[in-house]
Amino acid sequence: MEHAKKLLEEIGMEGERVEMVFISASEGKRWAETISQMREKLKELGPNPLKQNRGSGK
Amino acid sequence: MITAVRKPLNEIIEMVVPYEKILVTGCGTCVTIDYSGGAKEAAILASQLRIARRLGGKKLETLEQTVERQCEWEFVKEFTDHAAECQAIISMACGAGIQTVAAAFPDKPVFPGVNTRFIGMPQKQGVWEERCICCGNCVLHLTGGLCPFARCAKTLLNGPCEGSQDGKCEVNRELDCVWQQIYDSLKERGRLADLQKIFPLRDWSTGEDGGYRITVREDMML
Repeated sequence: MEHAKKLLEEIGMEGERVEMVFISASEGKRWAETISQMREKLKELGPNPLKQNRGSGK
Repeated sequence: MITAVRKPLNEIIEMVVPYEKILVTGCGTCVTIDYSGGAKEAAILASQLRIARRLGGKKLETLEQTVERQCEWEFVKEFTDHAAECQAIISMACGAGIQTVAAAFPDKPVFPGVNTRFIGMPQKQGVWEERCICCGNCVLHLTGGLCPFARCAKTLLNGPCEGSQDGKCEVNRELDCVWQQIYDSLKERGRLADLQKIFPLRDWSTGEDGGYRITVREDMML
C-alpha cells in the first residue's frame, strides 16, 4: 500500500486517495466509521483529476 | 545477476512526449528478480505514463510485453507484432537488453526505462550489493572468495590501503573494507599464506580497458 501511495504521488496525485484498512466482518461500526472518514478525506481532496481530463488512452 | 533501478518517472515522461502509442517491454530474467523491470514493473510504468499523460489533458496508448530475456535475439523477436503497432519502445531490461531491442528494431526510437547498476546479489530482501566487474581474469581463488576489484574503491590487489580502519573503507565508512574481509576469510579457511603472494602489475586488457569484449566459442558455432 505504501508503494501504491508513492506511485500515485510520483504522477502528482495524492497518495491519501488509497488506503488499506483491516476490519473484521464483525466490526460493522468500525467499518462505517472508516468509510465515513475516507469519504470526508476524499471530499477535502476533491474530485479525481483523471475524470476531469479523460483522454482516449487505454 | 545484473541489477538495475527504474529511471525517475519524469525522465521517462520527457522521453516519450512526442509519441501517442508506445510499447513498454519488460525482461523476465535479472530485472524481474530485482523488481526493476519485469512484467509487473512494466505494467506499473505503463499505467503511470498513461495517467500522467491524461492529467496533462492528452492521450497515450500503451502496449506491454515481457519476454524471458531481452538480451537474446530469439526472445526479442517476440516483440515484433507489438512493436509494429507502436511509435516507440521503452525497454526495462539492463543495458544489454536495451541495446538488443534497439538493434532488432532499427526503425523505432528505443528508450531505457531503467538505469543498469552492477552485477551483484541480493544481500537481504530489498538490498543488492555489487560483486563482479567482469574483469576477465578472476582471482577469487586467491582472495578468499571476495573480489577486490568490485569491492575495493581503489581496486587494490595487494592488501588494504591506509584508509582501512576498524574494518571499514575510508571512501565510505558504511562500507566494509574488502581487504579486511579477505584477511578474515583466508584465516578462517586456513589459507593466510596466500597473502604472502604478491600480485604483479595487472593486465587490464581482459577487462573493459581493452575495448568491448567478444567471446568466441567455435565449438558452439553453427
